[in-house]
Amino acid sequence: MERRDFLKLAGFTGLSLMLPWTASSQARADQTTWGGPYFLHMHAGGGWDPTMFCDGKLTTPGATPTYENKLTTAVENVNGIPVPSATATGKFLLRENGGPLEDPLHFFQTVGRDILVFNGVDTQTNNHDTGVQGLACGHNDVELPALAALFAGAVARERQVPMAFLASGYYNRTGDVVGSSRFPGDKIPLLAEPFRGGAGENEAGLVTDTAARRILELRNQRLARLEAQTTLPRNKRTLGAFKDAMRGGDAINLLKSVATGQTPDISTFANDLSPDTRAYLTAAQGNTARFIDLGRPLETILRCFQAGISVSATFAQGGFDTHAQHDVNQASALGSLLARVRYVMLRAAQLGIKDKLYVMVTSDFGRTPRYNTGNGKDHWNVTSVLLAGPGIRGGRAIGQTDEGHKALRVNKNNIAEVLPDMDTGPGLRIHASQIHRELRRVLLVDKAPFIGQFPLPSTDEPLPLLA
Amino acid sequence: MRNAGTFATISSSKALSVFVLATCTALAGSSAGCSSEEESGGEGSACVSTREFFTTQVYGKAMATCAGCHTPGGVADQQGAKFKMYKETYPDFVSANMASIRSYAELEVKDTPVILLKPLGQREHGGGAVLAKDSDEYRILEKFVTDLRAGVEKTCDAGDQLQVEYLDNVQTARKAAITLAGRVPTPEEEGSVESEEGLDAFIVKVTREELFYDRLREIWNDALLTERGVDSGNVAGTFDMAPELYDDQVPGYTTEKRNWTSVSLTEEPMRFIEYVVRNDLPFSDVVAGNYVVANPFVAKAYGLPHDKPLAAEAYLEWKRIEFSPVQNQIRNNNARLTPVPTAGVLSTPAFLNRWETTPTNKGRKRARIVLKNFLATDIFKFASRPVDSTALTSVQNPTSNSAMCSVCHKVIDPIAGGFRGFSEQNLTRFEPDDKWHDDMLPPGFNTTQMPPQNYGNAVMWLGAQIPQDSRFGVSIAQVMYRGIVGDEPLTFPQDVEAKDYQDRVRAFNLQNDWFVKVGARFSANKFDLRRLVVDIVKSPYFRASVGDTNKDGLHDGLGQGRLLTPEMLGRKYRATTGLYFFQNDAASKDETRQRDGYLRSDFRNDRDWRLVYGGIDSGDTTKRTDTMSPIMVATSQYTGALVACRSAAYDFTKPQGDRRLFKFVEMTTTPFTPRQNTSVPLVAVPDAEAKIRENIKYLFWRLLGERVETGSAEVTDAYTLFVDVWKDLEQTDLTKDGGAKGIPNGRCRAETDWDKGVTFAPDQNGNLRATFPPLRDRPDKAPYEPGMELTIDENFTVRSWQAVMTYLLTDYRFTHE
Repeated sequence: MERRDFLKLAGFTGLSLMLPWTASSQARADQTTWGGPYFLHMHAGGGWDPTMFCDGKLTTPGATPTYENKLTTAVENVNGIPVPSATATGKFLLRENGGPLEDPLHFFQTVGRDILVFNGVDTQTNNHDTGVQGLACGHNDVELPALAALFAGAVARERQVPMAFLASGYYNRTGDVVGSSRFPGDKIPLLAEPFRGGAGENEAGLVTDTAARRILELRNQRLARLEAQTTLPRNKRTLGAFKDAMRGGDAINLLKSVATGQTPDISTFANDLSPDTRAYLTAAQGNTARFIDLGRPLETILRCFQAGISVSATFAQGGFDTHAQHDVNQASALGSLLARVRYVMLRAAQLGIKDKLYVMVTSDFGRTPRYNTGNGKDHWNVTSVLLAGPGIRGGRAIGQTDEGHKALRVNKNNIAEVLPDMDTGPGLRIHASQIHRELRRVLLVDKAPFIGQFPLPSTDEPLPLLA
Repeated sequence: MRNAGTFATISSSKALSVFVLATCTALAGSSAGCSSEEESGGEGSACVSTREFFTTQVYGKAMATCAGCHTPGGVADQQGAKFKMYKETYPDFVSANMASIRSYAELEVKDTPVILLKPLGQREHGGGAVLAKDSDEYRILEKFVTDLRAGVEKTCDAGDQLQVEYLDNVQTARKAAITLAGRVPTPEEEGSVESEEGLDAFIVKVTREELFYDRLREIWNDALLTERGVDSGNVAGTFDMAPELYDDQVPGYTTEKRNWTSVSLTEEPMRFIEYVVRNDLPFSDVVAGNYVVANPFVAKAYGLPHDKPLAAEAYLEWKRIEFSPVQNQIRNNNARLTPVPTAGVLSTPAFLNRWETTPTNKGRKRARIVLKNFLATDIFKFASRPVDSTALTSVQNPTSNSAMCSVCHKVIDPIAGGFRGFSEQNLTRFEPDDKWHDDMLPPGFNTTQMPPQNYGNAVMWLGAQIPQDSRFGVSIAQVMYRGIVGDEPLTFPQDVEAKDYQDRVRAFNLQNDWFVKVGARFSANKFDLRRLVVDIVKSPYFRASVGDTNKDGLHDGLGQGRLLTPEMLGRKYRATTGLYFFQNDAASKDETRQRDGYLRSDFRNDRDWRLVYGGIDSGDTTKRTDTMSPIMVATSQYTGALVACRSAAYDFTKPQGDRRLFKFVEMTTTPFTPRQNTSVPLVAVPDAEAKIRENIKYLFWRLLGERVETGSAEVTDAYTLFVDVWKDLEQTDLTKDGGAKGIPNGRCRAETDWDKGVTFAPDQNGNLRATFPPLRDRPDKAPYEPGMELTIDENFTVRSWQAVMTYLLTDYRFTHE
C-alpha cells in the first residue's frame, strides 16, 4: 500500500496521523509505531442468538410456531433495531447466575448509537469452523488471512510495528502478510532489552553494550547473505518473517507502558452503565470491580493500540454453543460479551482512540428459532454482525429477518430497502464476504500489494453496505 | 542420482537429486496400474503423467461442471446417478476419481462409453448438455477416457518433477537428531550415515532415544490436544474405585495423590502412544488396542492392579494392563461393577473430556477428531457448500434426510455411534445399556453397520475398523509429517487464475501421491512408526535445501527454515551447549522428568514462556505460530543470550577434550597480547587468530549446521565480533586499573557443575530445592584449572566468546531448522 493511501485513510477517519512521538524519537517512532486507525475483531465463539439482543422476536402463533422464545415478552424498536425489552417478570436483562450483566435496551440507546447492526446475515453454514472462518476472513471455502491480519499486514508494509497483529481470537490466519503476536505479560521487562536480561540500570547485562550493538549490526549483514542464498518457499517465508520481526524489535520497550499502565477506576464508568446493571457490575470481585474484570483482556489490547505497538487484534469469548438450557446459558454468554463491547467503546474514548477504532463483533452463526428437547437451540445459518468505527454511521440496522428468523434480502441498489427472500432480482442476502469487501475498502486493505492473492468469493455480488 | 523406485533413497552425493513419486499408488480401491507407459522426460521437457493430466485438465477443466452434481450428496447422487466424483478434500481424490471414471467408462452404448454421451445431453443425462462436442473440454475428456479404456496410463520418470538440491546424509542426520531427539550426532555417527543403510539405521536409532518420546507426545498432542487437562475428582470420581485419590474426607487422601492422579489421567493418551512405539507394537493399537496403559495412579483410579507403589517416584511406570477399567455404579441401591471398553486412546477419559459431547452433539465432535487424525478426512472441508438452514424447516430430521446435511452426516454419524455408551452428561461414565439416538444413522463405519451385539463395546468395534481403512496409514503419515516437517500438507490450489496454478497442482499431486505411498508402506510394515519416520525424514519435504527461486508454486512445501517450537528450541539449546534455557532453577522435582535428570527447560515447563514463543496450551491456544513475530525474536534473543552466557563460561571449566563448544581454544587464546597501558600498540598473538577462527568454524557447524571455511565472510564477521568485544574489555580494564576482569553478571559466571547431576533437599520452608555440586573454589591469584569456578575473566576471552555464542544462538539458522 502506498503511504498516501494511509494518509487518505487517516483523512477518512477525520484525523491526521498524530502519533505520540517526541521530536527526538520521531525518526525511530516513525518506523515502529502506529497512530491509528485500529481494528478489533471480537468473536462470540459457538454461535450467538441475535434474537436475544439486536434482532428481538416474540413467539409466533400456532401449535408449531416458526419462532419460539420462552423469555422475551416485548420487543422495542431502537432506531430500527429490534431489541428485546421485557420478560414475564420484568425488564429484559442478560444475566449470569441471576446477576444482571447487560441491558440490551440501554446498550443500544447509549454506546450502541455508534454501532451499525447487520441483521439477517446469511453465514451459509452450520459448521463452527466454517462460520468462524467465514466471519473472520470473508470466505467460507478458502482459508484467507483474517481481516485483522490483512489490515496489520498492510500497515506492516509501512512500519515495523512490534505486535502489529495481536492474535487472541479463534481464527488468526495471516497468509504470511504479518506475524501474529501474543501479549507477553510479565516477561516484558526481560524482552524490552533482551541482551540486558532484566539487569537494572547500573548493572551489567548478559553481554557488554559493545557486544549487543555489534551483534545487531552483524545480524543485518548476515541476513542479507542468507537472503541471497534463499531459493525455496519455506526459507523465503520464515526468513522474511524473521527479518520483519527483527525490524520491529526496536519498539518493544514501548510494551513497558502497556504493562505498567494503571487499571482504570470503576467510578469513571459507573455513570455510563445501565441503572439496572450498575450495582452488579461495579461490585468488587476480589480487588476488582466486575466490569473492570470483564474488560481486562480488552484493556491490554486497547493499551497496545494506544501505545502504537499494535494495529489490529482478534478476541474471542466462548460459551455460546447453547445446545442445552439455551435461555440461561446464552444470556450469560451474551451478557458478558455485550458488557465487554460496552467496555471497549467507553474505554477507547477514555484512552483517546475511539475515533480511530474499528470494532467488528461476530459469531459463528445464529441459533435455531425453536428449542430442542433439552431446551437448547441448535445451529442456524442466519446471524447478525455489529460494526463501529470512524465514518460508520451507527444506531441503525441494515437487513432484517422475518418472524421465523429467516433472512430477508436487501435491495442492492438501495440497501435500506428490505425485500422478501424470494425476490432474487435486485434482492441479495447479506453474506460475510460482502461485509468484508466493504471493510477491506474502508480500511484500504484492498490497496495492499498482496491483496490479489486473497480474493473474496466472486460468487457474491458486492453490496454497498458502508457507502 | 536418478532413481525410479522410491524416494527413500534420495542420495546426498549428487548436487541435483531427484524426487520420484509417480509410480503405483497402493491405496486400496485404486486400480491405477503400473503396467503403463513411462516417459523419461529429460531435463526441461514436460512429461505429463495420466494422474497429472486428470488433475489439471480433466478435473480442473473438462469435468469441472460435473463435480457440481456428481459429488457425494450432490443432485446427481441424490437422484441415484451411478457415476460419482470426489472433491479434492476427499483423501487421495485423484485415485478415487480415476477408479470411478475407469469403472463407469466400461459402460457403453454402441461401442461408445456412456461417460462420453452423458455430457452431450444424451442417455437422459439429468444435467442436460454440459459440453459441446467440438469443445476443448470434450476433446480432453474423450482423450482421457479413451486412454483409460485402452489401459494407457502414463507415468513420468520424475527426475524433472522437482529439480532441487537436498541436504546430504550428514546434514540430514544432524537435523533429524536435533529435531527428533534433542541431540547432535557424534563424529562416529556422522561417519556411519554416509550410506543409505547407515542413515536409515541412524534415524531408527534416534527414535529409540528418550527425548524422541517427548517429541512424539508433543506431535500427537498437537493433533489430539488431550493435555488440556482433566481433574481426578471428575474422572476418578466417576470410576469410584479409589476415593482416596480425590476425596479429602477419606482416610489416605493427600493433595499430592490427587495432583498426580490428575497429571496421570491427563497424560494417559500420550503415554499410550509412547508405550506403543517404545515397545514396537503396531501403531494401530493407538485406536485398536484393547488394553490399558497405566501408571500406578491411573491403575488405582481404574480399579486395576499395578505392581509399583502409588508414589510420585513411580509416575513413569506406565505398563500394559489387559483388564478393563472398572466403574463402580449404584442403581436402585444395587452396587455393581461395570467394565469399560478400551480402544487405545479413544476410550481414555482425557480424550472423552477433551472432545466432549452433549445430548444434541451426540458424539459428533469425537467422530470429527477421529476422522481428521486417524482417517485423513477433514469433515469440515469434506463437502464445502453453502448451507441454508432456513430452507430446511420443513424437513424432518435434516441431518439424515436433507442432502445439504447428510453429505457429511452420513460419514460422521456412524462413527459418532462408536462412542455410544459414554455418558453425554458425565462424559467418562460408561453405561453399556444406554440407548443411542434413533434420529441418526446407526453406528458403523463407512458402509458397514455395527453388529448389534457390539453395541455394549462399540468403541472397541470402531477402533478395530479404523486401521483396516487405507486412510489410516495416510492419516498417521500426515500427523507425523506436520510434526516432523512443521507444515500442513498442501491443499488443492483454489485460484485457477494464478500464473503458477499448474505448478501448484503438480506440487499438490506429488505430495498427495507421496502421502498415499508412504501411508501404504506404513500399513504394509505392520504400522511400524519408526519406518514411517525414516520415510518422512528422507523425503524432499524434510531435505530440500536449494531450488529454482522462480518455481515457488512447484516447490510449495519445500525448503529448510522451519521455525522450531519452544520445546524443540529448548532441546536444541541443550543438545548444542549442554544447557536448557531456564530462568531460575536448572532443575525441579518433577517426577515426569526423571529420565531427563529432572532438568528444567522453561520452554517446556513454563506455560507462559511456551505461549510467548508461539506454543500452545491445548485449550485456549491450540495452533502453533510458524513464523517469528517481534516478540518472539526478542524472546529468542533473551533466552539465547542467557544460554550463551551460562554455557560459554561453564564450557571453559572443563578440560579441552571434554568441552562441547571450545575445542580449539583456551581461555588464554587471546587475539592480541594484553597491554600494560593504552599507549602501547596491540600486538597480535601468533596462531591465535587461526585457532579462534577454527573454533568459530566448528561452532557454525555445531550450532547452525552450516559448513563454512575459516576465511569465509561468516567466520570473519564472528571473528570481528570477538576481537571488537575483546578490545573493548581490554581497553576498559586498562582505564580502570585492572578493575574490569570480573564477570559482572552473576548468571554469566560458572559456579555450578551442572553435568554432575541434581540432588534435592528441603529449604527452610520445607520446599524441595534443586542443588548441583559447586565448582571448586579458585584461590586468589591461583592459575585456573579445570573444575574451578569461573568468575574472573582475566584474559577477556570468556566474555568475548559469550558474545560470539550469543550471536550464533540468536541466529535465524539456530531458531529455524
